[in-house]
Amino acid sequence: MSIGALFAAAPLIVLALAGLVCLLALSFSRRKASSAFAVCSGGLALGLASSIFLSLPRMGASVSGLLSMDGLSFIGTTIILACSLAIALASRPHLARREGERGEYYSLLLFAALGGCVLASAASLATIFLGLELLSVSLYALVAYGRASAEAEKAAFTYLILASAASAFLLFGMGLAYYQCGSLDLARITRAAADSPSALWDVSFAMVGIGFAFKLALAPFHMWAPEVYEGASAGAAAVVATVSKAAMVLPLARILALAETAGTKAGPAIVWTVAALAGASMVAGNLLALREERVKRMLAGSSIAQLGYLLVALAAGGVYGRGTALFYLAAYTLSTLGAFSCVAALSWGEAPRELFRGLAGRRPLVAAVMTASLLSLAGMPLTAGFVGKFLLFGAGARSGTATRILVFLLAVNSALSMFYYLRLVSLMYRKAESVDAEAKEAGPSQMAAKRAKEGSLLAGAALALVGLAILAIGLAPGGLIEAVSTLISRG
Amino acid sequence: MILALFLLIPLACALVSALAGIRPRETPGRPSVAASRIAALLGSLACLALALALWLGGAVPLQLELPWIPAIGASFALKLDGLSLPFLALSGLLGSAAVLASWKGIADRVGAFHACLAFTLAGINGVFLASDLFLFAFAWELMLVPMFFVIDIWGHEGRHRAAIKFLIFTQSGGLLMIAAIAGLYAAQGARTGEWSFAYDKLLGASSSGALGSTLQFLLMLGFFAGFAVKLPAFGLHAWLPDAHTEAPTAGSILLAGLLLKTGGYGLARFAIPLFPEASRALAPVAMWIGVAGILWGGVMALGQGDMKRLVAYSSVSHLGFVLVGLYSLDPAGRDGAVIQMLSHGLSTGALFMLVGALQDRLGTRELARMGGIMREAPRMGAIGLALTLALLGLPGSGNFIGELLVMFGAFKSDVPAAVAVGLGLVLAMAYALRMFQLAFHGEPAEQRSLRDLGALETATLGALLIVLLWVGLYPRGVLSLLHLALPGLSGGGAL
Repeated sequence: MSIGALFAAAPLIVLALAGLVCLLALSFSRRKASSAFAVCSGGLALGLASSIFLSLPRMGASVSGLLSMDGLSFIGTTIILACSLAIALASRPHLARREGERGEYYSLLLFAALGGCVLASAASLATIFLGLELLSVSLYALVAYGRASAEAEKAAFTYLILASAASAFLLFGMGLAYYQCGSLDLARITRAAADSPSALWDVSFAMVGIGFAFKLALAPFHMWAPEVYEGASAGAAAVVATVSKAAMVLPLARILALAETAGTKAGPAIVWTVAALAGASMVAGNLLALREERVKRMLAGSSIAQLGYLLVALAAGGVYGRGTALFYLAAYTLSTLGAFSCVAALSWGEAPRELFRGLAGRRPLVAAVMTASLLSLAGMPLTAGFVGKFLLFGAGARSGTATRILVFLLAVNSALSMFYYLRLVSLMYRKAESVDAEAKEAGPSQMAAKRAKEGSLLAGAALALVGLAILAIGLAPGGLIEAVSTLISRG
Repeated sequence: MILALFLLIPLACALVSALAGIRPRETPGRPSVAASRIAALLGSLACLALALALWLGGAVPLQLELPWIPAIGASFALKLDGLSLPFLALSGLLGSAAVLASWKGIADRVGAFHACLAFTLAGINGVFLASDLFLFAFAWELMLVPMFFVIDIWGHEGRHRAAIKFLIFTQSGGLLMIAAIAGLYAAQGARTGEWSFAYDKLLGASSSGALGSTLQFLLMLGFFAGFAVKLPAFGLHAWLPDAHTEAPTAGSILLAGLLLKTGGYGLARFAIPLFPEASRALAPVAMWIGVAGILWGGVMALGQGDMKRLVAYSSVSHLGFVLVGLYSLDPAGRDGAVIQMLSHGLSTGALFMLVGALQDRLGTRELARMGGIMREAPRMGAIGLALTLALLGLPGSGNFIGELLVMFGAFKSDVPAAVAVGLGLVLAMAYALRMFQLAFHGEPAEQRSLRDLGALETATLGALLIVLLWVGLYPRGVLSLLHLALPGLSGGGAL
């Protein structure tokens, strides 16, 4: 492996090292959570920097055929690392406030981010599976982490069992693909499938597709999402909703792009399948969220629906469609991140809707960012979500019949979704006194309180930054759109 | 750059108002509260002055184009012409009236309230000015959320439900319209290879054959859905009575006076010119939808016991005239529709202000609990009488000219529809006089002491009435401006 390739893969190496350092530090002293936090956020920031300064200039480099550090991987890495960093910052005040805080959370977060980045740049089935397992195993632990409640355990088990089943499907599909062309390389596989179509290929792709649909919580494979989101802590749910979603969309986009260049005859079938998943997810997700009283479950429904929206662009295909999908991915992760950070700022555990009543009077910053995030998810102007949705409409309208039907569904569903987003927004601006769940928790020791306070400042800054980013992209999206489209067409 | 001021001034005022009222606990007399009120008022007045200066200076048409998102061909393009200028002036006027109407009534979170009002106005001005379809959609959606807040936070008893209902209805239409914009953009871009949202470039799309007739009809329906919900057309009007009734006075003024007009403006500016063929196919149906609205709104208004709800239903009826006029596809009908929109904005805005004043004083909107206002509060009675006469379309008021021109247009294209429209006028007579009789005549229903209108309120209402009278007596002032703008549609006009 050349030095260039090593530089290109620098973000992955940095993350892996940071994860190891974090674990080592913890094995010496389990109570040193502050240092684990520092290593985690430092590692993520360093990873982000190395991705921009080392990886980006060497775009298109292939690392031993397993990873391809191209435009897609750069976009994915940036989104994943930025989200993880924000989640680390948002989690800090709560973890610091807990007595007997341990740092494993941060190392798990690092490994989850690493898995996500591997997935984003995977050029072979082997790396896809490696990344996926790295991500999933970290997530199992994250979901169960630090909460002794029966709910969290149930959520973790649900997630463990269903995600393992999904992995099994994926692995079976990959095995079938390997059996037929004797290679794990994605490009070679898609070409072989295009050259000699067979029923076995269809089965193989269907199984891989099911695996992806499970992980992305696309209807009809979405049943696990509400339970896991609700049972997990706010931080872990944020990882599931942002990092793991972004990590799964990228290999999907890559495979679809390769299938398109290979000129497969199954093109229309793929489009209709993706379109069907998209339509089903929009409807199912929104119906779930409409009836939900608990905010995290509502956000689960919302993210199911949002992924359905995103698939419209993937179904539309082409450089434009993929560019739109990635732009929307950025907008979605940013908004969802904002929403979950706000939930985390209020309550680490359960988050009933009532928690948000009168929030604007008590915590103006949190209320403002939550409003921006929800409006962005709803697709209102001034926020990133509006531009994203407009581009989705454009991408859908440019393409064939399937996506034109989806455009109509998208319009109707977005209008429906206004109900639950705005209901929550409305609640935040009503007059009522209610106490934060945090304030009710048993008073922590002085040291912990001090650390929590420092953490709160950082978390508040991160929160404000996310809110500003949502508005900035909403007002001047030109730069981001252009960056994404150049990255995609070069990669 | 002058045009950008129509957006920048309200946005700046929104910022000032919001900052002035940022302290959570407010006492009504605090200087910052007054500051936020004055900022909002000055902003609206500045917009009004600007519009009038441009009108009197004869500076139309005026254009501004700045690059915004070149990657997708969207630019910050504003265009002021004879169709948009009267509406801009109306927005400045009613914006000021809305601030004045809530001078005493709103005591809670004053800064945020005025910020929301100013923000809504910025969106409305953007709608009237945009000549880029992306910017148009942006402005179109921009006005929704602040309006939602105005209803949801400062409204009456049933406000939460009404606010959500308002938002979901208008958003469903709006998203279908955005989908249609995207479809038009995609079709035109695929044909010419130039991806642009510019109005002028998309204008020729349907005549150039870029769209098949089915696609053209579907896209037109998307636009129609967006505008018809806002107008509102019969069948899509269910949000209106609730939203108007539950909104605070200023909210009702903006809703009835301006937001509904964006629907009519959108039809005249976008739906019909962009898709002439498809609009012609829809026209007979659309006219009868309009007629249904006129009659239904009239009948419902006749049966209302709540004065504000009565005015709201009368809006459904009056906006039906706009639909009939526009889809008669006749210059006279179109002129009538525009005049009708302007006069409806003035008269209904003033009526909502009056109802708001009554509610503040009496604590009720029930007609059955009013009565005898004429004797106790003569100023209120006089203005109420003038507004009632305008509501029923008496000659001299702008409403008369609007309704008459719409009838002319309707007669040329569909005689039965025109006859039905005439029935609507009779209904208007009935509900307007019934309202006046119950509220202002007779003996007071309850023991009370009624304060007459203050100087500020009288002056505001008087100003609105004078403008209404001006439109009614000298409609040429508006029409000659309008005919500068729409050479494609206008064939001289009836007046």
